[in-house]
Amino acid sequence: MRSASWERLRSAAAAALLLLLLAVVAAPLAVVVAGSVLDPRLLGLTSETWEAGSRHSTWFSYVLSLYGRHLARSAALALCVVALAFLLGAPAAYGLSRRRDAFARTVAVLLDAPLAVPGLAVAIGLLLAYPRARASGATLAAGHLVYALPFFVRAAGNALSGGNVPELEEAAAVSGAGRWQRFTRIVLPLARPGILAGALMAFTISWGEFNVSFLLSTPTTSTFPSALYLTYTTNSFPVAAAATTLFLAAAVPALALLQRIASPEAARFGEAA
Amino acid sequence: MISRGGKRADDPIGPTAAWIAPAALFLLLAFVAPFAALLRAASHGDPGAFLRELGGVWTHPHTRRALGNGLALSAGVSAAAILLCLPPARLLARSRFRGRGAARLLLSIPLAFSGVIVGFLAVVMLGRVGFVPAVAQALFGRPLGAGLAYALPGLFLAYLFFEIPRAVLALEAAFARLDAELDAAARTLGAGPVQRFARVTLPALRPALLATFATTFSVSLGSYGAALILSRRFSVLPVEAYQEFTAFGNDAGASAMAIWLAGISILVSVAARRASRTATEETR
Amino acid sequence: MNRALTGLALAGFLTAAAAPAPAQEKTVIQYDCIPNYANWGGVTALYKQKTGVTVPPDPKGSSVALAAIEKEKDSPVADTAYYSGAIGYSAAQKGLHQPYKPAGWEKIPANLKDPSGLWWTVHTGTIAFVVNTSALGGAAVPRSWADLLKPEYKGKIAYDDPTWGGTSYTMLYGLNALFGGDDRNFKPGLDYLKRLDANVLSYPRESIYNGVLRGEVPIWINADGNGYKMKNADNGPIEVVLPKEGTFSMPLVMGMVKGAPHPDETRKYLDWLLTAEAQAEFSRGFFRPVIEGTIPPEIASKFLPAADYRRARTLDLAKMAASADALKKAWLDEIRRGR
Repeated sequence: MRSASWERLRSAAAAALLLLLLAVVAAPLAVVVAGSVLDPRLLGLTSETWEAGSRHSTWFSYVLSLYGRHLARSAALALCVVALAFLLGAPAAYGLSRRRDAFARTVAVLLDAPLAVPGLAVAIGLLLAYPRARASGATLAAGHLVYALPFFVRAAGNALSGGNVPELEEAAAVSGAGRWQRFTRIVLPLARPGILAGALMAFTISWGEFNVSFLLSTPTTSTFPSALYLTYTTNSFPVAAAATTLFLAAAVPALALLQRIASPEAARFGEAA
Repeated sequence: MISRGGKRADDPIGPTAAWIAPAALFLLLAFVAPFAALLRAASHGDPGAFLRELGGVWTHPHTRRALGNGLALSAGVSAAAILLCLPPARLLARSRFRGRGAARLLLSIPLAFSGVIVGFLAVVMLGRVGFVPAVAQALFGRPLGAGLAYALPGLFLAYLFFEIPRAVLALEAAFARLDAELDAAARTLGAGPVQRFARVTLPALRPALLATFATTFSVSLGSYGAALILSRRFSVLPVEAYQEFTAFGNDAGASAMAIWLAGISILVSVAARRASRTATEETR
Repeated sequence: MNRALTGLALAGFLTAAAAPAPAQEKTVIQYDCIPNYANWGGVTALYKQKTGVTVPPDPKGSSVALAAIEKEKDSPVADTAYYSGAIGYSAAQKGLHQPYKPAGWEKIPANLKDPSGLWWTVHTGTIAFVVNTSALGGAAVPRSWADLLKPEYKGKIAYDDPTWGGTSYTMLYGLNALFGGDDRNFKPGLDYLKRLDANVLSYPRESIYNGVLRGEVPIWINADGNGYKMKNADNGPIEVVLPKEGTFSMPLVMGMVKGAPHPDETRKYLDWLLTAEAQAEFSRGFFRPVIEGTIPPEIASKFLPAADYRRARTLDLAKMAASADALKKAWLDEIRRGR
C-alpha cells in the first residue's frame, strides 16, 4: 500500500515537473508566434504598423521574399546532417558501448571536445584548413556534423549501454548470424529509442546552427538562422516573430516526421530471434 | 549473470576499431586538422609566444574571471538541468500517456535555437518591457521580472532553456534501456522505493548521468550567444574569444582561449568516463 | 526502419546536392548587406529587377566583415563590402581592396573618398539620440550629451559596443575630440563615457533596432537614419535628437575586394550604386546620399532642419583608423571591464 501511494506521488511530481518544463519552453514560443499574427499592442508591446506601400500583404510574405531560399537550404542541410550522423554515429555508438580500449576512449573524449569550443573557432579552423571546399557547402555540413555527432552518439550509446543487448547478440551469434546481420537486425532495432532521440537532436541542432554558419557560410549558402538573427536585430518585432514562426513551422513537422519513422513502440524483442 | 558491457576477450562483434573508425576519421578531418590549422595560423611560427598566450589566459584577470564564470555557470546549469529533467525523462520513457509524442516534440524544439536567439527570446520575455512583466503588471499591478534578462538569474534561465532538451532526450534514452526487470526483482525481494532508487536505478543510470552532465557542461562552456546578448559585466571565455577574433583580429589570443575550452571539456569528458567505469565495476 | 532511414539519407543528399544548383544565376557578394539598414533590401531588390543580378543579404557588421575578408584573403568570397568609414579605411590600408573608380566618381567630395579608388562613400549618417518617447517613463527627451548624465535616464541608455560596431566607434572617437582630447589623449572621451556608464543599460554587440522600436531601450545613440526609419516607415513613437554640444557625421563606405570572384558584375553594381535612382532608394532608408540632389523632397523633409545638422562635425578617417586599436582597447578596459 505504501509503495503504491509513493508511486502515485512520484508520478504526480514527475508530471508536475514535466508540465513546468513544457510551460517554460512553450511560453516564449507562444509569445513569438502570437506576435506574428496579432496586433503587438495586445502583447503589451509598442505598436508598429507595416511600412506603407509595401508590396507585401503580411509579414510572412516579406520574410519569405527575402529569406525563402535560406529556409530551403537549412532544411536540406539538416536532413543531410541527420543522415551523416546516423551513418557515422550509429556504428560508433555501438563500438564505444562494447569496448573500452585506448582508441575507443580517445574517440569518445574527442567527440565531446568541439562542444566546448566556440563555433567561431571551429568555423575559422575549417576555413583555414579547407578553403576550396567552402563553395559547395561541404565545410558547412562538416561544421554542423561536428556539433551534431556527439549528441547522436551519446543518445544512441545511452540506449545501448543498459539492457541485455550483448546477451541477445551472443545468442544470435551462436545461432549463426553474421556481424552485419547482428548489427542491423538486433542492435539497431533495440537502440531505436536512442537513435530516434539522436536523430531528433541532430536535425534540430543543424536546423538552428548559427555560430559556425555565421562565418562559414557564404551569402549564397547562407542558412535561415542568419536571417532570423537579422530580423531580431534590425527589423521590427512582428517581422522577427513571423520569421521565428516560419522557422518553427518548418522545424516542427520535420521533427514530428522523424519521431514517427522510428517510433520506440516498435522496438520489438521478437525481431531479435 | 548480467554483465554491464565490460571487456570481453571473446567479443563476438569483431574489431571495435572498424565500427568507430568512420567517426574517428571524420573527427580527425573536421576537428583536429582545422584546430591544427588554427594553431599554426595563430602562433605565426613562434611557439614560445603562443605558449605565453596560453598562460596569459590564466594570468590576465579578465580572462581568468571569464573562465571562472563560465565554469561555475556551466556546472550550475548542467546540474540543474539534470535534476529538473530526470523525473520527466523517466515519465516519458516509462509511461504511455496521450500527448507523450507531442511533449517530447515540444521539449526538443529549443535545440533548434542558437544561443543568440535564446538571448533574444529572453529579452522578449524578461526584458525591460518583456512579456512577463507586462502580464504581471496587468495581473498584479507591478512589472515583476522587468530587466531580469540582463541579470544573472536571467542568463541562467536562458542557458537552462537550451539545455533542457539535451538533458531530457539523452536521459529518456537512458531510462528506456534501463533494465526494468532488475527494479522489479528488487521490489519482490522487499526493497522499499528509496532503496530501489539508490541501490538499483541510480547506479544503473550513473554512466548516462555522468555522460549527460559532461555533454551539457561542454555545451554551456562553449556557448556564447546568450551571454553576448544579455550580460554586461558577467563575461564568459567564449565571449572574450569572439571579441579577440572579430574586434582585434587577435588569432593567437582567441585560439589560446579555444584550446583552454576544448581542454577543459576533454578533461571533464575523461573524468566522467572514468567515474562511470568505476560505477559499472562496483555493481558486479 | 533501416529502409526508411536509408531513404531519408538519400533524400538528404539529393536535396543538399540540388540546393546550390539554382545559384547559377548572376550574383554579386556584398559583405554587410543588411536589408533593413539604409534600405539595402530595397536597393538590392531594385537592382535585381533592373538587371536580374542577385545581391544576397548578409548580416555581418563592419568589423565582422573586415575580419572575414581578412581570413579569406587567399580565396576571396566577397566581391565588395559595406563598412562604417574608419573600418573601410582600415580594410583599404590592409591591402584588402583593389582600386576602382565607379562611374560618378567625380561627384563624390574629395574628403569622402580615397584618391586611388580603394574606398568611397555611398551615403552618410549622423550620430544622434534615437529616443523612444513612450518608453521614457515620464522623463523629458534629452537634448545634449550633458543631459544624458542626469539620473532620470538611469538604465535607459544604450550604445553599441565600439569594438564591434563602426557607428559607436565614430561616437567614441568623436566625443573624445569634442571634449578636448586627441589621438594621444583619450581621457576626456573616456571620462565622459565612464560617467555615462551609470545610466547605461547594456553595450550590445548587435543592432538593437528591434529593441528600441519596442521600447526595450528608450535611448539609443546611433545613426539618425535608423531613427527616422523607425519613425516614418515603422511608425514608432520615436524622436531623433542631434545633441546641442555637437555631433559627428559618419560616412558609410564601400570598396572592391581584391580578387573578387565576379569582377565584371561587381563593377557594374558599384557603378549603379552611385546613380540617381540608387541613391534615391538609399534615401528611403533615411541615410543621406553622397551624390547631391538625388534625395526626393518628401524624404528630405523628414530630416531635422539643416540648422541642426550644422552641429555635425566631420572626423578625419585616417586618424580614426590609426587610433582604432588603442582607443577600442582603452574603452574595453575602462568601461566594459570597469577598471
